[in-house]
Amino acid sequence: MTLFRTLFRRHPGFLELGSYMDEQCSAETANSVRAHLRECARCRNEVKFLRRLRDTARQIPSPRPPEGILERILERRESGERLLLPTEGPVHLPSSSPFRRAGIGVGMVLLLLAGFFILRPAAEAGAETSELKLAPPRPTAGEEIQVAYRPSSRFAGRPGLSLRARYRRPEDGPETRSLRQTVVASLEKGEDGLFRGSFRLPPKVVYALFAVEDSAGEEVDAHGGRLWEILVRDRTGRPLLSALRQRELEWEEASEDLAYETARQIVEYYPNRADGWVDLFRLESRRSGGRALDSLRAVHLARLRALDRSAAQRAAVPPDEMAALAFYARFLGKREVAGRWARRLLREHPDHPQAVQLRVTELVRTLGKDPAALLEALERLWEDVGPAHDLLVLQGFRTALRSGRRVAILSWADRQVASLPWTGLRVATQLAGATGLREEGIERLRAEIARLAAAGDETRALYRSRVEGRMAREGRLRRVRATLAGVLEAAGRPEEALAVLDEALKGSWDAELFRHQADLRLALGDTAAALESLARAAADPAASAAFLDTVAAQVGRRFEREGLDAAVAAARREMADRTLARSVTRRPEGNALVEDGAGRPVALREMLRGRVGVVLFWSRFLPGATEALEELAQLGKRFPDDRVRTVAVTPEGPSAGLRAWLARSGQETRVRYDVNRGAARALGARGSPLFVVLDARGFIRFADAEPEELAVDVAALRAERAVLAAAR
Amino acid sequence: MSQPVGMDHVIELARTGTAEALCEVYALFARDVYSAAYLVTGSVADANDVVQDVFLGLSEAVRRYDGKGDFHRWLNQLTVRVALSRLRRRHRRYEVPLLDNAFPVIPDEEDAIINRIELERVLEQLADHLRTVFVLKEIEGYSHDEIAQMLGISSRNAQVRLLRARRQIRRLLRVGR
Repeated sequence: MTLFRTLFRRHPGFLELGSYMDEQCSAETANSVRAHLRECARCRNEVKFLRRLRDTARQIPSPRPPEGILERILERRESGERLLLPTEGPVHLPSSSPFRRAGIGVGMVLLLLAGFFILRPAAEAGAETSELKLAPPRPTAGEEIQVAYRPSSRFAGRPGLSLRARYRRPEDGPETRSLRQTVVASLEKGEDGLFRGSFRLPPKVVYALFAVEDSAGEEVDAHGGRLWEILVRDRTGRPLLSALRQRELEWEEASEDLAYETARQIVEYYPNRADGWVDLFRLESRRSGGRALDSLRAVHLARLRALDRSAAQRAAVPPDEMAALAFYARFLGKREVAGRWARRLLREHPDHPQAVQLRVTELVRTLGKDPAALLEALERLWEDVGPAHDLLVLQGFRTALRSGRRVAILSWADRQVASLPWTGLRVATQLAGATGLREEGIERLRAEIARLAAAGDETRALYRSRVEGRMAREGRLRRVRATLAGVLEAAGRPEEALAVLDEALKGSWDAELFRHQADLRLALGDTAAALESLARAAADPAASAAFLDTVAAQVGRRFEREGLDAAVAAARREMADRTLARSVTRRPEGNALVEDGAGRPVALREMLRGRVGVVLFWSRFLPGATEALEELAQLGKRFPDDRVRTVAVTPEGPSAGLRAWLARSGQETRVRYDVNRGAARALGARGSPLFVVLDARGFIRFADAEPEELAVDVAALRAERAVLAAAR
Repeated sequence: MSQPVGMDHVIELARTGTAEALCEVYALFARDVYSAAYLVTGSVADANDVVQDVFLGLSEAVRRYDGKGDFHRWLNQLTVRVALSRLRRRHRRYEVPLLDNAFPVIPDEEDAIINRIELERVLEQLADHLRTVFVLKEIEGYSHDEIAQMLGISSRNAQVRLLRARRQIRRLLRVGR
């Protein structure tokens, strides 16, 4: 088969391959997939992987129930306890958002013009509507910086503005949640209309990001979503390696394009650094679907040979370089080279973070089947090296949980939280689920709630207004409270669980939590209040008609169906009110144009005119794209009428690669192209995947909508539209 | 469908609900019930609770069993439902996935052998709604329609969740190496 045909043939979508695997497709589809598999090594590998996955999953041994369970059952039975088990009907599970898990929905996410920051000096202005200039343009840490800001029309009438910043130092890791934002300068308006101020770049800072906002924090200029930045440079003008690394870490989860460009820049500026090449190879492999293309691989193999030769000739090699060579060679399948550098690293620098990583991996490989022995070995390693590498604390806590040893669990839990503070919630939840540690978990969850409740504006992302920041904090608080309520209920403390849940639901709308609230109220015998909760759950646009029937059956003995219908109708109005209360009303900046598949410009405003619009900004190179497109498709099906319009916008242009990707992912959504990022700028979209919801008048109402709240948002805007239409 | 030899007796035992009968039924099915509960909830503590609830409520639940399908299968479905109810209460959806951030390893092309222990670790990290579908389909062998019915979702949605679960597993297997 020619290269052309190989590249452009149509691969079966993942769903199609899955149904072939599950033998749940038609004979015709099965034949066509079989024919394709004969020709296509990639899809054959995919099927091979799926089969191995299934085979391995089926080999997971059935664990034996621990001693004492039968006795406990008999005791409960003796005490007169009886249970009614669910033998029929569905059990709805809350689905977690892939965006939230990836930290994308709440994180700083940009889809940037590739190379924008790279081709321009750092800290240079360039937005169409506002401009920020820093002097000196290439500052160093500790230096005083003068700021001049020319605002867009929306800020022009303000007497003063604020400059907010987020700083990164060389030792900062990839986790962005632990970094804080702060106002670094007040900007006063001069007679020439420019806003001026100054600040000092703190010592050790190598990378900084900035946004301008009004003094109340109600409106933010985030440079069309791109923010402004400073990359600290050396005397020759070359960005410091640590500055580039921090930029790569900052954007790795948020913008693969920018992370990739930064990785390329690192190897251009620092071609002899093996760790730069490792990162570049890793990102290239990710972009090419998990494996490096042959041409890329050849480049990297040549580079590995050169780096290996150069290092081998030197008597002293820094441990970072040894580690990078070991991993680079391992990624490229050069096991001899990888083993040689790994052994030398372990011999000469056994406490180096990557040496510790290798030691932990080896311990898991050799002792993984014996949690007690593994735990003992990890404990010895900890005494030896301390928190040298995250993997040690993560593996230590995980193994301690498996061992069931209380003292060890608590000790490793504390070590993990001390090393990785942002895992505190996960640790608390895991403790709450561990035998005999539920109370400890509950206490920690309460502490997490107190910490979140006390969190201030410093946790607000640069591009969010104060109101949006508060909403984000409250959303997180609500989710932790929901977790605690679940744990309290499991601990047999329904009154406390209900109190926590009531708190979580104050001023918010979450159908899943209403169902939980109803369960608790029913369990506590408060049927009337439970009906109220169930009516709220049933008011959710995602609730099926069958759910309403189930509710009716559940409460039917006490209430008439009319009463339930009236309660649901009232709940729908309440849902709309509460949802609209957390909306904003902002006009898009300009009339955004996108292109259709034929390259014709289409105005978003025209596409959405008179309809509630949901615009998804997505990129196939960033995580969560498939799931977001699925969400959009589901939403379109849920609101099939002409009053709601969904649009999927990507920063790419149309290409065979994109079409193939869409086909492989089983996506049938019509895509619009935003190559110049005009639509992203107009709607203030700062990432991918990201949903913006507009009302029928064309105002932005939910600027960074949570995927699981989209249906509620749309339903509320539709209700508002109906009210407005009736009032006319 | 007729039951395997002796199963009618077991069903009768389960219906009587005496302590002796319960002990007999427990001896026969405890391991299977525990296994399904553990796989669905991903937690030893939750699995312990589910096993207790299933056997405690079995004598009443079995009265609703119409005898048409295989009893073993029916008991498995009951266990899955109880485990799902437990999951729903637990609301584990906001956990942070574990990531090793230093040098995530990219597997070689041929390095596709899946280690069972690693897979168990990865399953623990999957979100509940994804792990549930994966376990029900790939380990327990339910059809998409059956899973859809149990979870109150469409069959297509079950397929999509399975797809997402498989992808997440692939990604997590890579990260963990």
